[in-house]
Amino acid sequence: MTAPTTLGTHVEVRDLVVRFKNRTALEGLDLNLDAGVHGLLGPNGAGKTTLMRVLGTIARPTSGQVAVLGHDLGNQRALRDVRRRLGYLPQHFGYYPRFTVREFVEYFAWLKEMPSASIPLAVDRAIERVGLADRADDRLKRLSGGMLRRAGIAQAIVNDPDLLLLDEPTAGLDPEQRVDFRHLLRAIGVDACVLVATHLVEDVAVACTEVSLVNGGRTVFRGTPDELAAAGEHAPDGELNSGDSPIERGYTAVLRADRAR
Amino acid sequence: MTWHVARPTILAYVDGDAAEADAWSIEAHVTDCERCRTELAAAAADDPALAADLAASRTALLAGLPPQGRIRRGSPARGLRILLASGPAARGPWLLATLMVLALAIGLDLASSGAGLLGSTAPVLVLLAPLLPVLGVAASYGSGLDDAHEIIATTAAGGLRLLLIRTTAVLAVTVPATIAAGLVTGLAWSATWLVPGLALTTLTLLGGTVVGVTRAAALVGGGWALVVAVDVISETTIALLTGPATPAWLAVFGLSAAALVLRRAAFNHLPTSIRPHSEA
Amino acid sequence: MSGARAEPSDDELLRAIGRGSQEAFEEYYTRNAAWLLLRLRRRCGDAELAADVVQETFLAVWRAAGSYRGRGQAGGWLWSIATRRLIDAHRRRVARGESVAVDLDHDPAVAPSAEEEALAASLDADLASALHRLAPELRAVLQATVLDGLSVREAAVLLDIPEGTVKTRARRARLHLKEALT
Ligand SMILES: [Zn+2]
Repeated sequence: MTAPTTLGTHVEVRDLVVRFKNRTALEGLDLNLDAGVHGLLGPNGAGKTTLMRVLGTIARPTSGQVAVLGHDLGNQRALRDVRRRLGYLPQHFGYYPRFTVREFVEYFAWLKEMPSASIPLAVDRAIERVGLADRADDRLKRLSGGMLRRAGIAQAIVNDPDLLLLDEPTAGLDPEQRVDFRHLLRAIGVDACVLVATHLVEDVAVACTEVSLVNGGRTVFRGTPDELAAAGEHAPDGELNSGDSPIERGYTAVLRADRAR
Repeated sequence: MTWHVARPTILAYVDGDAAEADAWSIEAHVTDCERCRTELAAAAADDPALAADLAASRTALLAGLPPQGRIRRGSPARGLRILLASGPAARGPWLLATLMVLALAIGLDLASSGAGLLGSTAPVLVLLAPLLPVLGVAASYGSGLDDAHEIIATTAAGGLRLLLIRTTAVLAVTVPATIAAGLVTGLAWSATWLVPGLALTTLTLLGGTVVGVTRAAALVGGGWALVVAVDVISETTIALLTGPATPAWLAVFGLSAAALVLRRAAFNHLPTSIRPHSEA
Repeated sequence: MSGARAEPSDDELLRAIGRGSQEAFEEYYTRNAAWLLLRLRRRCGDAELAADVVQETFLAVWRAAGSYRGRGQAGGWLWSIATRRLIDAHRRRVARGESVAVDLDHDPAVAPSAEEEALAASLDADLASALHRLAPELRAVLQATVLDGLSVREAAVLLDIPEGTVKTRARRARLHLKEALT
């Protein structure tokens, strides 16, 4: 049993290795996260989803140290405590088409073992925060892709999680909804740790206080969005760098430098 | 006991110049005292600026009232209901399959007047009934059948707890239905099919801690089907399907239930067979 | 004293709102909007924000009254809705980078005035004076966590200080009060 981490550190990962039968997803990854909105960037196959699952307490590390909300996840009781304070939205999430938005969010409120008296109001507030109040009693099968995604976000935030894990959360959202979503993320990040995994660099960077770039199962960059953008300016072959925005150029430059290693 | 805030104190509070300690006691008291809330509202109505603010807010509010939500009270019964609503016992296909299997068993038993199917001497109900809860458990848990499985796995109640709730619901449907079928076929209720049904259920759950619930259900179901097939082909009743085997089935039930409790942590994580299906 | 008990209680009003009665909703607003607005103003020192929170709170009441199952807890129920909205509003403002003006020192006199002392005498005199001698930042923490029922995390958002600071200040405030009262 490792000692609890210091107060205020939401996520502490040291030398995390996750191996599957025939391949290695994470190869000695380090990550420390506090309250705020953190972007987890990286190309496909970089290990983002595996990391989200480890932090979401559902995938087991092969080796390394992982402390979530100050707890070692090996302990049964600690695990339950952590899970009550967790919000999780995977990239692909199934739903029950006959459930209404309200029932869907309520379902997860019960699973997260929230106090029963607080559930109706918490569900209503979560639905309101994602802007679905006017569709709260519609069945999920009648919703558009963007609305479903927002219903998924509502279930993730219904318990006011201390750690919110969102995997490609902007998929299916239209530009206006993305703006609203970024505002919501920033508001949540005031007192919670939000980790957003995405390959849409430009999309999320604006909302983040900090970004981590993962490649080949390792953290290869950690800094503010501005610092990532700056990494693109000093790239030697500036003209060859693809990407329309400074931050995308920075992203490409860092990846290229890592691959050249 | 019936203390209320003095009127001057209320007036001072409404005017915004109550002493800090008074404000505290007003706020603490008013939260629980309807009479003082009303007093305070009356005092506020006499303050022109405040009354105007409240009236403006009221007008805006009433102009834009949305439809009311269909909100249920947060009672434990409601929680159970909503957790069950996603399980197989509340979903059409499994219920339908259960009823069809039972109808088939009843039909065959009635047609052969209890003499057994083909060469078997055991009633068809004894052969088929124990499989019903196993199918229900298979439909209760796992990535294949529960779409929201990955999110559920991250929740505090999402492991063995939810699985047990759903399994109980499955048994709450199959056991009475099987007993009813037994009464219809004139076999009455019998431990010969009830106890093996329970034992196969816990065996499936236990197997689920090792190979995943869906695969465990396939193994247990396949094993049972093999016993039944041998029984039918060999034209002699296998001991497993007769009344005297009941204590052995009870032992299997007890042991597998105990082992399940010991191995419950296995439901805490996604089965390792589930990879990130698209890092894409 | 308006002692006429023929009027419906807040519990009854909430049940009527839950069944869709707009009339009950208006009556409920008339009775409860004032104390809610005043209390919120004292918490955020921003009349406009307080008015917004009152609006959002009553909208939530309209939508969710059907879930109320208390007996005589209508006041606490309403306040708990309002505090969640207040904290959310603060989160939005902090996220936009606006400074949140929490006026800790809206109690102007450091020494209690004569009238205040007279008023305090009608309450628990010891507690009142102890409260008064408490440093404003300690009092604010105590107010948020004890009187308003906020969690440490919510108090941290409302007062714009780290959670650890909320905890230490709450501990110190309790210690001060205990000393003063014994
Ligand atoms: Zn009173």
